[in-house]
Amino acid sequence: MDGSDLGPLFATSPFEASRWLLGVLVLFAAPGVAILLWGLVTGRLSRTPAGLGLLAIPASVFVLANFYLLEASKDTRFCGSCHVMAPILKAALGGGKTLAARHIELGAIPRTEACYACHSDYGLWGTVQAKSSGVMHVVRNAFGLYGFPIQHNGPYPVSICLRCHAQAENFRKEDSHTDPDVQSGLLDGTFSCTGDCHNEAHPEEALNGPEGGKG
Amino acid sequence: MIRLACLFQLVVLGIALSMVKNTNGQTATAQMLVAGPCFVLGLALYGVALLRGRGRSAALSNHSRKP
Repeated sequence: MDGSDLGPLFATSPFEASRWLLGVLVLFAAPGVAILLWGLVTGRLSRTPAGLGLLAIPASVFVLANFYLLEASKDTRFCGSCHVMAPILKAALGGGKTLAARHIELGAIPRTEACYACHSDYGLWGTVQAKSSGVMHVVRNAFGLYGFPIQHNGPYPVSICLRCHAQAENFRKEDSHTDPDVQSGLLDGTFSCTGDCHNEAHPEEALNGPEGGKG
Repeated sequence: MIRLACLFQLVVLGIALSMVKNTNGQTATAQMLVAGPCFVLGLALYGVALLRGRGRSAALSNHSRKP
């Protein structure tokens, strides 16, 4: 998937935490571990060390680690590791006529961040939204709170497509794209790029889950 | 009880540190599912230990006041 089978020129390493983040985490965690080990051996902890070791340090280290995890979740392999998403990723990387497959095949979106590239909106708020919905995906996956076929939550924001396409000359030349009715329909979410004019983003059988809807 | 509370929070710290080496969604789910309850349990156990300690010291002081 990452191209390592084609030689070192194509290999992309999986996401790794920066050494700074690792250092900060260890620096935060070390006093906590010391306090907790002391408590474990002696069986007593006074209030201040208890507040630090039992509440403040584990909470802050856990929050920091989750920041890393949210950053790592940009990696396509992260999304594809859940069995619900695996068929979608497999189809997108396997080529074909669907929009996701075409974009990846043409190199329009990076293979290693393909999900994130098309499922995060503009700017900081878009990133926050993408990551918060990613957290909800983890929760839904954990408790089985999902159904098939997998559907996009609300209309797909056309602004994500326009981020690249609005700048392309071919896109601007197309008559239907300059039609006022089409433009207003796309902008208010009445209809989307896929369906009538362009192929679906993902094949239906992939959206039906690992066992084609029986899962 | 305080020992158990410390053990639970050590588990939380261990999981948090292991998150930095994780790029797998399933593992992340498992980590969150284990760390969350461990954190709450650790705090709850310490709270119970504190309350018990207070109760014990109150009982001792009452006992020492008796003629």
